[in-house]
Amino acid sequence: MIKLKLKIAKFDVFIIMAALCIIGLIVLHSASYAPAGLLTKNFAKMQSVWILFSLAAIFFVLKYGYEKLLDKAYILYAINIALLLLVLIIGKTALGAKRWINLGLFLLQPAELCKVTFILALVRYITDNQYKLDNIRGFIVPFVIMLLPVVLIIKQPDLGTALTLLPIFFVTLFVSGVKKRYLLWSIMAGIISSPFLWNILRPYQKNRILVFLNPNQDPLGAGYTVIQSKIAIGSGGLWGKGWMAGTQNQLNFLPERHTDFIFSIIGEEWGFLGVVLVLMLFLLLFIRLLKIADSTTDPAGKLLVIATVILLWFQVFVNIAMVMGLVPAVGLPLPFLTYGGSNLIVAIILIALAESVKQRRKVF
Amino acid sequence: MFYVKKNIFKTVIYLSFIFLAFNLFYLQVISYPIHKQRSLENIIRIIPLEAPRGIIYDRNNRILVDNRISFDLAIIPQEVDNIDITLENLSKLCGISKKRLYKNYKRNYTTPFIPVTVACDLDKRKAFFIDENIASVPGAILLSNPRRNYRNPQAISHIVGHIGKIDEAEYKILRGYGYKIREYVGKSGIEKYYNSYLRGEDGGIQVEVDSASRRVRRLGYKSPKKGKDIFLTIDIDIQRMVNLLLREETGACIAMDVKSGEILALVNSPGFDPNIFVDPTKQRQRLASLRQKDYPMLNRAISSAYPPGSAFKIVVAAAALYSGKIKKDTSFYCSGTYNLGKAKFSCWEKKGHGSQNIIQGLTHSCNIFFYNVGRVIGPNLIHRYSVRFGLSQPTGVDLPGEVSGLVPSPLWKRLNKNESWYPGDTLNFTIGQGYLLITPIQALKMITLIANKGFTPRPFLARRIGKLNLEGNKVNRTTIAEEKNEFDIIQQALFNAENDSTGTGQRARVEGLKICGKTGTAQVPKAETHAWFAGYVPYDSPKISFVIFLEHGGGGGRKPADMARVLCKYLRERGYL
Repeated sequence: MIKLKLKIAKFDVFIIMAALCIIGLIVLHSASYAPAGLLTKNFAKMQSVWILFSLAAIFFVLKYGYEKLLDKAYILYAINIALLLLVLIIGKTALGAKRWINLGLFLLQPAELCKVTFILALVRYITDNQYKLDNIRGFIVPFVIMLLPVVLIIKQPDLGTALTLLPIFFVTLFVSGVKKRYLLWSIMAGIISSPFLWNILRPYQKNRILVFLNPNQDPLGAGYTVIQSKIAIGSGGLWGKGWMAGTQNQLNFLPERHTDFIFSIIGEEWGFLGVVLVLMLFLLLFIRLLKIADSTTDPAGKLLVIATVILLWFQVFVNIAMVMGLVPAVGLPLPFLTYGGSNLIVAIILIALAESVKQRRKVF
Repeated sequence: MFYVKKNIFKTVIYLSFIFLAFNLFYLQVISYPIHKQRSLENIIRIIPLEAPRGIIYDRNNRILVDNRISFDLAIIPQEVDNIDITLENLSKLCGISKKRLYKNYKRNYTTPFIPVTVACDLDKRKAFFIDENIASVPGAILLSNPRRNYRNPQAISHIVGHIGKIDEAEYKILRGYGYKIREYVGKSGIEKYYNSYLRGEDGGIQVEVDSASRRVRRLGYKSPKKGKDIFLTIDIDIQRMVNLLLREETGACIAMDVKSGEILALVNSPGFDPNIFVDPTKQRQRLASLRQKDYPMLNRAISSAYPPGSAFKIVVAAAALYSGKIKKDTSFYCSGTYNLGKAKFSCWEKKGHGSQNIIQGLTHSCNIFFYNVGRVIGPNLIHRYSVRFGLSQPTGVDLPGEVSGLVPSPLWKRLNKNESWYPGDTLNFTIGQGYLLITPIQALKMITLIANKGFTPRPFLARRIGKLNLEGNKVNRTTIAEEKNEFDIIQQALFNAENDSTGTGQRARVEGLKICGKTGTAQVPKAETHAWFAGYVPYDSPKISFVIFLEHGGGGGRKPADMARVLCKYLRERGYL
């Protein structure tokens, strides 16, 4: 047991991350393949281009270190808010939602970037004001920092990404020692205003939640994806149907399979053993990240890593629960595996930040 | 700050992953079979291939009913996103109005994956055009289905019958035998009687499809099996000739080989066109043929019973002779009327026939003679012989819907009418009036029994099914007596009826052909009489027996006798005599 732990300890977060990215590429290749020639894009190829891009981001983050980025946290946050506003004005519509800014070379998703800038701004505020956190101001300012992007992102509308910011906010504030009653009050307020929030939701979002409660209510519409996803995972069995051999995947029964529902392909083609492998890698990653948080003495670094773990864990948990129909299909990506540049780069930057925290620790 | 135990994160993360792993295990290992099955159902479709029904031939192996290819346009509902657009595109493609396509679609819809036929029997050129362009209309397919093709439809309609979609009652019974909803089954005639032989075994193509139901590859193929062919005893030439004979009339005519029971012709008039029942566009004609006042769908030869009139005197004569109560030379005097108490019964010949023995009585069809006979032998004896002649029971011909007719008796009257049998009933009975009802095919059986001097084979239509020969085991005789002399007397009388200068059936006389027969003119309340002619030919060694029945056709000695003459001449031409 101890030996195993030591062995695990040798694994760096980067290696685990690379393993997940490679699995993602293999699965994306299968998701792009179609016998009838239905899809012309090769997602695996495009994703590997994004991975190359993120190598540059890793290099950048490690060179400058997380402290310098924290110094610029508010500026980055302000730029990000501006970008979110810009999206609402000129954004490109995809899947009934405006989420993108066309930068010529690629489509930028400010909501994804917001995960990093929000964490940075939040951590910066908490560490700057760590001795004033027990009064009401210590809660209000972080709340506003959270509320601003959440409202803008919901407006896009991108319910899933907006929701990911909430656990980061609450957990980070909770561990920082903000008065628990403030946190409870805000949660209560959220619950009380939920009927009002329900009315803000777009019809398709309401539909997704209703369909979650009863997928068979609309088996060919909103419930279709979840039903097909469950069939895909369930029909994979213990051993899976084999790479490139999943009928749900290859015969196009599974919509959005290269994005939010990529885990269903792993379930179908790789079977239970495959999904356990992926779960183990994520678990290992989180344990390693928490180890970094454990061993650093810098509160900012610690908070940064904890926020990263919360963010990634929330995405992994909700995504996998979603493809099994255990939670509503809110549209959260699976980090490192789901196709998409913004999401991938953000996840990799967060890991790089954590690695940066680990490296600075040695400086002390 | 940071007073929270760090282990809480680990615990939450571990628990959440255990939760996910547990659910995945449940989904992938425990409920694997269900999901496996569902994923197969997703991708496997069966396209049904209709099997052609067996072909029906006549006695000279000429085709009566076969199948032709019909190009049908169909829609697979589950492959259609917007039925409105699909129908509109199809309408442009095939030139049939969208409204009509939609009507057909609604009427023929069963389940999402079974093709719904919206247009049938497209013109060949149009079909090829559609086939080239059908890819532009997702969900639409062009099927080439076998379609029943009836040749000489009017002439053979009542023998071969027609087919139609299985109805609810039939489906309930036949479901267990693999019949499918909306399948075509025989509804009348040979098509119905031998449906289980004629029906083929449907095949199908098993294909793998993608989510848009586009065919990815073929997984399996089961070729449809054609039904068994049926070979009839009918001669289509005679059938057509008889059909022409009857064209202007309402009635039936049957001709049969007296020894074997092979039916050479069985014609009802009016006939119908069975083709309209396989063409979905001919709904109006179908309804018309069902509602028409002269009931063209009615197989009068077997499914309708009428009073036989004087033709029944044959039975009475046989009963009288066999009972021994009437001898060859027993004679009664006919003055034109017969008094029973205060009631007066008259002969059709007002002047009277004078003294008549049994031969003369039959030849002249003298009512008074038979009234006297009836009074002597009584109704129970006539009833007994009627039953021996096969009346009041189906002949067993291989057609559906045969009725048994009715032979009254004192007991019958007591039980059914709660009345006594009066002597007047006996008088009516002896001349084939009153309660007595027989079908034309029973009349045929009756006359055949005379021709054969005491026995009659069971009439039948199918001589071979596929490779199974049915000839021979159909003979199944009905025999009433071994004593042949009495039949000689009746045969003599039936010969005289045509060939004597005083006979009732003289119009049926043909030089060189010894036709025997009995006319019948049955009175019907407030309408023209029914006309009968039951006969056989030739006198010496009978070969063919026949019966001609005309509903409200006047006197039996007129139109039916004329037809008998033409029929016998034609039979001689065709070499049957």
